[in-house]
Amino acid sequence: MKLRTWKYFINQGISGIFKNGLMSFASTAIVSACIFIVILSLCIITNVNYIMQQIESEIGITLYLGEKPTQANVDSLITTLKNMPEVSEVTFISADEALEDAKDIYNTEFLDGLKDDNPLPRSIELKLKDIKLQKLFIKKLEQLQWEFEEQILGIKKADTPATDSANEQVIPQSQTTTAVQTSSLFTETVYANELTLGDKDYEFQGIELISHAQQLTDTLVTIDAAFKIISITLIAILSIISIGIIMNTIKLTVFVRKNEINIMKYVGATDWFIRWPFIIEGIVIGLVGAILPSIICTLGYIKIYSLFENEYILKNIAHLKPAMDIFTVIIPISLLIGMLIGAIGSISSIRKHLKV
Amino acid sequence: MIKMENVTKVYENGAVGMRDTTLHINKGEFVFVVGSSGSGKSTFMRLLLKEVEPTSGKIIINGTDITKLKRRQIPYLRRKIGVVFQDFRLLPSKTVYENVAFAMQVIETNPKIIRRNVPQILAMVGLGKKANAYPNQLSGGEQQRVALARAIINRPPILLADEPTGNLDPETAWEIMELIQEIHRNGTTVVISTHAKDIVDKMQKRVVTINKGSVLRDIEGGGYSDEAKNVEILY
Ligand SMILES: Nc1ncnc2c1ncn2[C@@H]1O[C@H](COP(=O)(O)OP(=O)(O)O)[C@@H](O)[C@H]1O
Ligand SMILES: [Mg+2]
Repeated sequence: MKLRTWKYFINQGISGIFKNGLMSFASTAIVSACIFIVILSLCIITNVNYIMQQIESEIGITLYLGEKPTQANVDSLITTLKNMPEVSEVTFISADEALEDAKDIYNTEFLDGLKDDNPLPRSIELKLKDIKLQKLFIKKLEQLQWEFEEQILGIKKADTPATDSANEQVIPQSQTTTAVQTSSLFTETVYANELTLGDKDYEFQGIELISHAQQLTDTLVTIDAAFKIISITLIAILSIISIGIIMNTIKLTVFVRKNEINIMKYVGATDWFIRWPFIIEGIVIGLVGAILPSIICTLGYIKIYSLFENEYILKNIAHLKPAMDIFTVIIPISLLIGMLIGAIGSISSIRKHLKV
Repeated sequence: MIKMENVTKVYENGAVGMRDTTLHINKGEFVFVVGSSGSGKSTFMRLLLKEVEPTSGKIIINGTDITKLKRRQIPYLRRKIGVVFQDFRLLPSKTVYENVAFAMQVIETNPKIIRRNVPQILAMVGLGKKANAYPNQLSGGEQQRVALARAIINRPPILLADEPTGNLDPETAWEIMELIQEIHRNGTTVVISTHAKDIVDKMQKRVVTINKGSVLRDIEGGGYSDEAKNVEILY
């Protein structure tokens, strides 16, 4: 259709909004509420995912090593870890490096004094390909923890005979490398045996501790899922309400323009020529309804972001997604949703009330 | 130009609007459709405009069987037919000029042509000086002139007028009839339904009398009926 025809449609559409101003205002407000919830949930879902990614990449899983394992033990452990399919990255942190890191974090020279008698343990940091695999992977790690223990102490856990051939290869290998130390470890080994491997209170000497943020990631995964469900439900309900009220608004305009439509039909205006102004009216209501919460949410988010980033503790745990990254995507989406709600509302109303 | 073949229209409530009617109207004819209230005059008009569908039969306009037209083709049928009603149906919020221009706008006529043609047609119907008046500032006769201007602004080959003088005093009714005759002289096929015996009798055109949806009489150069003419009311 011609440009002047579109001008006419837009003109008529907008004048329709003012012809029943109160209803238009009400529908705009409802659309705003709907879009507000849409943006809010998108912000939360995006950030929950963003934080999860950071946890994945920044926190990961740390294996703290005891004094016992030799560098050779540790190297073979690292090889084993690298070969695990869930693992994307393995980083060994020596005691010295751990001290340097601590100095960076606490930003003090005080720790310099510890240089010669470093109490910090060696550790291995793992990053997983997918944080959702973590729960199962931890189970595997616990199994590995036992195997490593058996390997460095040269003993076997009674109830779990090694069945895997790979494990059996590892054990003799390590036995040769630890052979020299075996005698000097004897007393402690006996102590370990008193408790017996597999005991809940057993204190590991190989991998002393598996540190992971399972609690946090579990919480985030739950929050993410809960928010997805809650927001989808809310958005669905509010969309239906929005569409309903827009339908009513358009119905009123159709009623107001009844005679005009009648004449248009008699002089041979096409169905679409008659429909477009109403569709545009709906779309404009949807669009205006979406612009308002877009502005409010952007400003609000920028504020929250700066508060968050100025909070020392929060900043060290995770970062929020920058407003630019989030809203360049969310604003077009919400404007589109607003227009869609408006279009659906007016088209349904036209189908019902505009018998052209 | 217009052919109705065995057309029957039964409304949903069972009322019969048209009963097995066959009627041919040639290009350039001037036809009165007369009959008492409820005889089916408006049904006849509505069938030609495809406002209602016939229950059976064929309606052919300009060689096209309009009962077979698709929904989206209806507007193009209506562009070939100008129509006026007893109640004028002007838009009260628009001026005389805007009411007429509206009929061109909604079929996407070039604004230049609108600006050229609307004053011409208003002059022709004798409302050149009232272009900026609103319908409620006009007399009934003037309002019907605006409606006529609107009906013919897109130069349709057919003009349907459903009791165009029903709301007018006899003198004004005559003026409207003269205007319609002028439109007819310019080549438009005219079909008028009316109650105005005197006008029908005086004009000596083709008169189709319908009764209970059927054609009772179809007389070339006839009168309203065999009843006495009531000249007093006219003058
Ligand atoms: N929309 C309608 N629904 C049902 N019956 C109708 C409708 N329009 C007209 N009729 C009936 O059809 C018959 C013819 O009506 P109409 O064509 O309006 O006659 P006229 O215009 O000659 O007065 C009448 O019996 C009338 O009651
Ligand atoms: Mg009638």
